[in-house]
Amino acid sequence: MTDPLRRALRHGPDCPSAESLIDVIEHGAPGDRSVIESHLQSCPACQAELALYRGFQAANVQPDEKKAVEAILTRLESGARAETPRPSFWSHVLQPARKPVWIGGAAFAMAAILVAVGLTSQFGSRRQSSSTGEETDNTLRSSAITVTSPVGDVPEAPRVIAWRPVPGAQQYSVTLAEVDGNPLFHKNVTTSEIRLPESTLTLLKPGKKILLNIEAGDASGATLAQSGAIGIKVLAPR
Amino acid sequence: MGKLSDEELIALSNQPEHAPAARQAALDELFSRYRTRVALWCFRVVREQDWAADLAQEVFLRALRALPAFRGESRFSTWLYTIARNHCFNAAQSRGIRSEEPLDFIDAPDSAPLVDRELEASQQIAYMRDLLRENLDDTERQVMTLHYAEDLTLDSITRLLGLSNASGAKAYIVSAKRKLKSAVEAWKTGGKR
Repeated sequence: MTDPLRRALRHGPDCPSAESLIDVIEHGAPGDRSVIESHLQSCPACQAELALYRGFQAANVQPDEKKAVEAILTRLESGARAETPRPSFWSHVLQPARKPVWIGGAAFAMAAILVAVGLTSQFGSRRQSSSTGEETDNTLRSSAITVTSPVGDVPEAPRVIAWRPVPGAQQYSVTLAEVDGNPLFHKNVTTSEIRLPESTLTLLKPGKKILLNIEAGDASGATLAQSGAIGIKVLAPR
Repeated sequence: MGKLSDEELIALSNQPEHAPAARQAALDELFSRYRTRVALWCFRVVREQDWAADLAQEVFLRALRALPAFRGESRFSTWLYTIARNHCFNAAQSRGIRSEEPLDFIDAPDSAPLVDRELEASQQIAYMRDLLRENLDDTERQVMTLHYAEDLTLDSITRLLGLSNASGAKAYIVSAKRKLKSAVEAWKTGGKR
């Protein structure tokens, strides 16, 4: 009995994403409110999710928490932390955290801008058309790896991810992650396509944006090229 | 700057035509609105000041990295909350923090007629959800979920849910178990279901 009880307490496949749940119920966002409210009646995990979010938003610091919170804020504001350079954002996501170094707040702020600007540029340059006519608006191209399928919003969870081979590449590292960087799937392959397992397909919920990244590596493991973070969204059924 | 919404600040920070100082100011304003929330959240989950400070910094760095991909499909506060939630829960679980209270207060399926072994798992879950809904109050359900499904400590749950009773989440676990056990006993004797 304990296993069904634990499972009953956990989020299930019928649960809306945390974002949908919170935005619809708490912020009145467009969505099927009645369906979510009905689900909420019977789902303890979603009830707890809402309660946690309300606590996060309220942020009522209790007297015995004040000292610790102030110390944390001091660290955030005066000694913001930066990480050692990493080969890429996505390898950071998938690798264990390295021990950080601390830098000044101004440098942190500048790092923040650089990260924001850099990634904006990367995303902004993702859609390109080729003068050869070989590529169309339906092809997403990064500096080196061109993902041919899926592209943009898709009607259903893509079973296959395919890309153009990179000369010299011995293997490809394929990652799917939520927009906050939480990894959903990762696998290294030697071919230029991969079939997603059913367990991953169930995580690609309609309306939820997923980021795809592919990195090509040579025989030594060095990165030859990468796709950058490519947004994929399974369209909600009409 | 202070009058702009979170989403307007993000748009400002993402527009290359604006001066870097303006974009930086937008980011500063945006994150200043959430520093206390994130700091408090991290501290409440892990209950260690230094660790919480590390986590809070990591949450903001994650958010900064992902911000260009933010398309306003959810509120910024919701989005940041999910980052903080996932990051801190994962961190706590990676350190082996597990629920302190055993979940063996109800007979196992082998010895209890409560659950037909031929029922599909989904039916069992639906049954358990009915049991939880009909017998526990909102706070008891939330505490049970956070302790047994998310493996949060009772101390963390007490803080995260803002429970003000003397024994915090522990009291809700005790009362929830008692109610569930009683409901199961009632079912066994044919009193219910």
